[in-house]
Amino acid sequence: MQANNYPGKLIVAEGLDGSGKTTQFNLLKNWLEINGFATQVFKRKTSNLIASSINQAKEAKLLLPVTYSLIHAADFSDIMYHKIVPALKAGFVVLFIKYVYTSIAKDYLRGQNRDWVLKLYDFGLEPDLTFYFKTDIESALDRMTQEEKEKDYYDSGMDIGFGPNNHLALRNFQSKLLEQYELMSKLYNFKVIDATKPIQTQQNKMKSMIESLLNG
Amino acid sequence: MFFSKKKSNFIQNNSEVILPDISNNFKTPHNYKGVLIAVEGTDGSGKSTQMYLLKKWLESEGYGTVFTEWNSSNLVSNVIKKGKKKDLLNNTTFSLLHATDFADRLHKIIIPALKDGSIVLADRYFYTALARDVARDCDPAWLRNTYSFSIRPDAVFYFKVPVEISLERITMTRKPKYYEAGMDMKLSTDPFKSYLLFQSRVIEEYEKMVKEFGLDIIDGTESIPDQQVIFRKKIIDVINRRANAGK
Repeated sequence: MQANNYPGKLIVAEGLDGSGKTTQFNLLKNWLEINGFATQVFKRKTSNLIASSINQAKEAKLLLPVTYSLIHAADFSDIMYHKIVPALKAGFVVLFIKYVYTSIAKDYLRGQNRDWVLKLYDFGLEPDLTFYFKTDIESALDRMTQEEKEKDYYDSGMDIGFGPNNHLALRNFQSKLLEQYELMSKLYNFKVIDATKPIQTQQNKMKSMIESLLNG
Repeated sequence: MFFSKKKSNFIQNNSEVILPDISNNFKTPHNYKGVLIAVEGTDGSGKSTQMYLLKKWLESEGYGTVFTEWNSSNLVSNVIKKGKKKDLLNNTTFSLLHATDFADRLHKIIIPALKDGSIVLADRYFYTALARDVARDCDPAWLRNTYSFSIRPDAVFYFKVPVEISLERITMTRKPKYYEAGMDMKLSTDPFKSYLLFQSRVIEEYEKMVKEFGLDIIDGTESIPDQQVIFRKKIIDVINRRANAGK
């Protein structure tokens, strides 16, 4: 990936669903804006054209592991060029929830060669800061099952045989995903945030790191 | 006969999950029962006409054939069409969508048909992406990595014509279209000039791939029947070679 040489800063959140990333990043946005930094929060699958066809294809169970990887990369590429780069050029702080690392981990679990996926995402920008919201599998699963929308066929890894039913597959798939985050955390120097700590404790830790990034 | 002599069939909705075999690199031969033939070349090179005639002949000889063309899977072709209409997508995004389309057809049409022993005729294969996307400034090494999930055809025929003939043929009834003329690259505001400039880049990339991937050149300026005679002869060789390898 290329280094970010634009005036804006790119800060990303990785970690299991239910680890509190969105809550934390929305609070950060508020804090940054109060301090005078224009901020935008982005997520995957928000590209105009591609996101809807991903959802349709998932609904109809049409995606194979390799097309799952490629179409998500296309979605990310679209967001990169239409949202992230323009915002960074304009000097915004960009907060991105689930950046390429989540995709790399999921693609790897779908049987793709890790090196292939890494090179696939080579067009992306390297984040200035990557927060990893570390949680244990039980609390993440607890929160996932409290969500209104049940995890779909792909999100629970049923498409690649992670379990005979949604519940078991989800547990297996998310446990494997957690292992991947742990591994990448060391490889890519993630800043670990203990997601089991109180919200304010997590905020304070991130704020001090962001302050030194923005002042540096 | 080594290959199944049955009527052509179109395999759809193969629900079996295929995990890609990474060792099956796009430069090593495949081990399926069938034969995979691809044609490449610029628009107006005559490759589709030649492929059509070949298919008719193979079927009359009793071979089961399956035909597949570029950008035709229902997974993303709609997105590509809409994106083109509005000139909305950047080159990397387009490239990844074409790769998605190709991967979908590879696993749902091409590989099942090859397993079945059919002769698969591909009108354009991943070489098209390598030629066009590099002409659109995508990184050649990145593209080769992206498409490394592919399987290598048993033969790839490159229908070679000078860019002027390609332009002459496609403009017999109409102006060059926006994307085939590479107007998105802003090489020229005149679609005819832009076509010549852009397709020259595409041809340059094909020329590089002749050696890299061993593309077999057919002179696309010869008459249609003359080319077909040459083409059929080459196909018989490919089929016999595969049949002997299988013994």
